[in-house]
Formats: sequence, C-alpha cells, structure tokens
Amino acid sequence: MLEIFRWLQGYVCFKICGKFPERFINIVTKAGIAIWNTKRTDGELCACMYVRDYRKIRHLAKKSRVKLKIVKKAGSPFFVRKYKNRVGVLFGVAVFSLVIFIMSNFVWTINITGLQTISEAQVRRVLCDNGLYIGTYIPSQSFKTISRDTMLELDDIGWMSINVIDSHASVEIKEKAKSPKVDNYHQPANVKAERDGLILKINVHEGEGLFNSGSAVVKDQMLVSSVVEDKLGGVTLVRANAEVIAQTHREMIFSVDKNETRYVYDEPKDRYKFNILGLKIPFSLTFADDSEHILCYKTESLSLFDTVLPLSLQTQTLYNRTPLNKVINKQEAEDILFKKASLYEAFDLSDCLVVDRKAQFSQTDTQYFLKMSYTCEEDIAYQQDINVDNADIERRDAKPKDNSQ
Amino acid sequence: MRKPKADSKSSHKNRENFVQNLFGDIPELSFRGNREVIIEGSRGVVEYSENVIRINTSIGVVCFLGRNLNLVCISPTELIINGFITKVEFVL
Repeated sequence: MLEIFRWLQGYVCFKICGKFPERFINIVTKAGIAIWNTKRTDGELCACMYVRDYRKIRHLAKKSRVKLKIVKKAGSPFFVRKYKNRVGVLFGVAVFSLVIFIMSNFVWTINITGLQTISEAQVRRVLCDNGLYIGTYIPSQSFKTISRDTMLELDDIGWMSINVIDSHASVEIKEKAKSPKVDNYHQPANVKAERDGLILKINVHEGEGLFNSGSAVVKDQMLVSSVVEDKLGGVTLVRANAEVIAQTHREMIFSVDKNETRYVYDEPKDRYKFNILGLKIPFSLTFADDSEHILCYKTESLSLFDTVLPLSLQTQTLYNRTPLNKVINKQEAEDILFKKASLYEAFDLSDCLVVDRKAQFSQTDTQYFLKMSYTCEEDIAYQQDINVDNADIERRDAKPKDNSQ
Repeated sequence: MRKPKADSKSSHKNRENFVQNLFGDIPELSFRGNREVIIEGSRGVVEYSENVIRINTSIGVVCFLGRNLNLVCISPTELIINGFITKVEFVL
C-alpha cells in the first residue's frame, strides 16, 4: 500500500556524495522531509525521497557540502510526462479501466449445479423471471429474494443459494428428497380382478382364495378374501395377496384420415444475432414469411482461458414450411395402422403375454380403421383396502393371545 | 464553578511531558531478534556505514555493529535499523 502511495506521488532515488552524508541526513530529517531506503555502498550513500521534497533540498545539500545525483525516477508524474505526447495511450488506459469498472457490475455467466431431476432450462427461465440473467445489474438485485422466489416457484427445490463472485453467478441447488411409498401391511385388503378373464393359474400368498383354475371372472370380482377363518372358528382380517394369471381379451381400434396434411420444407435460412450482456443485435436481414415456420436456436459463447465472456453469437435457423394435402391409399393406410398397432403392443401390452391377435380392416368415407383383437395372458389381481377401525385391527392383533389363553 | 476544559493539544502535550518525566527522556530501543531495531528518541546519525551505525541520543551515542546495516526509515526522533546486528555499544 505504501509502495502504491509512493508511486502515485512520485519519488527519486539519489546518491549522496561528500565527506559527511550523515550530516545531510540529519538536516533533511530535521526539516521534516521523509527519506527512506538509505543504503551505504562503496563509500556512497543512496536514499529515496518524494519528488516534491527533492526540489526543496538543494540548499540543504549546499549547506551540508554534499552533491546529489539522481539514480532513478519513478512514479505517476514521470509516467504521465513520458506519455504526454501519446494521449491516445492514456485515453485507452482510462477507457479500459472505465469499461472494466462498469462491466464488473453486471452478471457475465450463470453456473447452475446440483440438478438431478429438474431441467436446467426450467431453472434458468424461473431465475430470469425473478431477475437473474446474463446482464443483470448486480447492485440493483437482492439475490436472497431471487433465491426465495425461485424456491417458492419450483416445489422440487429443497435448498438453493446464489453466490455472486465478481461477475460470475453460481447457483447451487439441492433437490427435495422424495419420501418413498410405504405399503401399509397392517391395512386389511381383498384381491379383486382388474378385468374379465378366465383363470389359468392362481397362487394365494395371503387370504382365502375363492376361485380355482378354469373359473371365469368379471372385472372387480373378489378373487381372494381378506377374512380368514381358523380351525376354532375365529375370524382374522388379513391383507390378501395373490398372483392370478388369467386369459383376457382386449380390443383396440386404430384410425387414420384419408386426407392427411403433410409439410414441405424450404431451404433453411440462417439468421445471426450478436448477444452482449443480454442485448441482442441482429446481423442479418432474413425475415420469416407469413407462412408457417420453425425456428431452431444455437448459441455459441465466447470464452477466454475457461472463462465464459458475456459475448455470444446466436444462430437462428429458419425452416419455412408449406402444408400439402395428401390422399392416402389403402396400402399406405394399412402400413400406418399396423405401425400404430405394433407400438401399442410394445408399450401398452408390455406386461402381458400376447397369445393370439386378429386384425380387421375397414373404412368409411373419411377414415380407415384397424380393429385389433388380442388374446393375452396376464396377472389380473389387484389389492383393494378395506376401511376398518383401529380398534378392529387391535382386536385382530390381540386375538392370538386370547386363543392361547 | 466548573473548570474550563483543556483543549486536546494541551492534554497531548501534558501526556508527553508525563512520559518524559517518568522515564527521564531516555531513548527506547526495541529489538526484533538481531535483525531489526527501532530507536525512539534519536538526535541524529553520527556515523553510517555497512558495518557500523552510530546514533546520537540523550544518554550518549549508541553504536550498532554488524553486517549489511541499513537505515530503513528516518524521522527527526525515530529511526529503524535493519541488518545483521552483532554488537550494541553505549558510549557515554
């Protein structure tokens, strides 16, 4: 700090030649002039002094019969004098300092860490709505408020913190830990049929089975009862559980319009925008037509030594499209409908074993239809809780004790 | 009747006088090992070389002997000597 202060004021280092340089030092210090870095080498005494003081000490040097010789000049007065004729350099330095000072008040980059399930784009959008975006004026924002508002808006965030260091905003997020679904094993439940079917195999794990293999059941019919009767005639409520494999029948109708709208895309056109701290400056004169169009955005940020600068180039690729009506023939319709049926089998019937399938193709004036009939083998059991009082459950828990007595 | 309050300058002077009376205008020498010494109450430099520095004080001349001795900072009553001090002599 002292060095900077001395540099700003300007100082000279000088040699003191003479018989009694000590006398000169004493006179100078008594005159209240600051002197530092005095060194004695090879019979000469070197010291440093402020420029303004050096002009005053000539008569003191005469008085003490020593000669002074300047060795080094340093400091801002000499620097300014050196570049007096190069105003542009000084102006450039001043402008550079000013730009750095102004730019340091804005957010240049935003880094988000700790995301697991929430999308980064969503968080960035919410942060932008609440006032944190590239180009935010730092002194005008309360980052605690932004953090609180973002947490209120996004329920999945458990904790978050915004730290702004220089021009870099670092957003740390911890997502909420979701509580696992706990199955209530004490709650009595019956096992019922999820759909109509013919039972092929039934494995009762808990409860009283009501049907055997070969029985036909309808939807929501009770398959396994939760009421279990013991040998002594006592009744216990249990949580029934069973695996019931049944042959089921499913029907699905797929359709496609005879007249379909398809789009023809023109040659893509690129539009460029230069982005400085959120200020977008367009660079091309390509405009979207009145027709339908799709825009694709691609942003490339400029970085220097792994530091992302607030300068980016946004490329917008514009795809103009014109709708065309196409009449679909029977062969094309069959292809489309069978593809839809395959997708249905792959995703919706993934838990079932498809034993047999039948297809029936039909058409009206406007549409083609494909009716698919599937014969499947699947587990049709589902548990349905029974609402009983806690007192009943306690009685049930206490029952074995009573029996033992 | 309330006494007039003494101004800050005079109270400071009184304090200085009190300290001078207490220690009898004796110079104060503070050493940091044998590498640096701060002298308060100096009256000027008598001799200054790489191996010897003599300082005039109220009690006489204090002589510091050693190697690479430098006067880092000088003011009318205080100074700092820096270097490898091997010996201190009081010439009374």
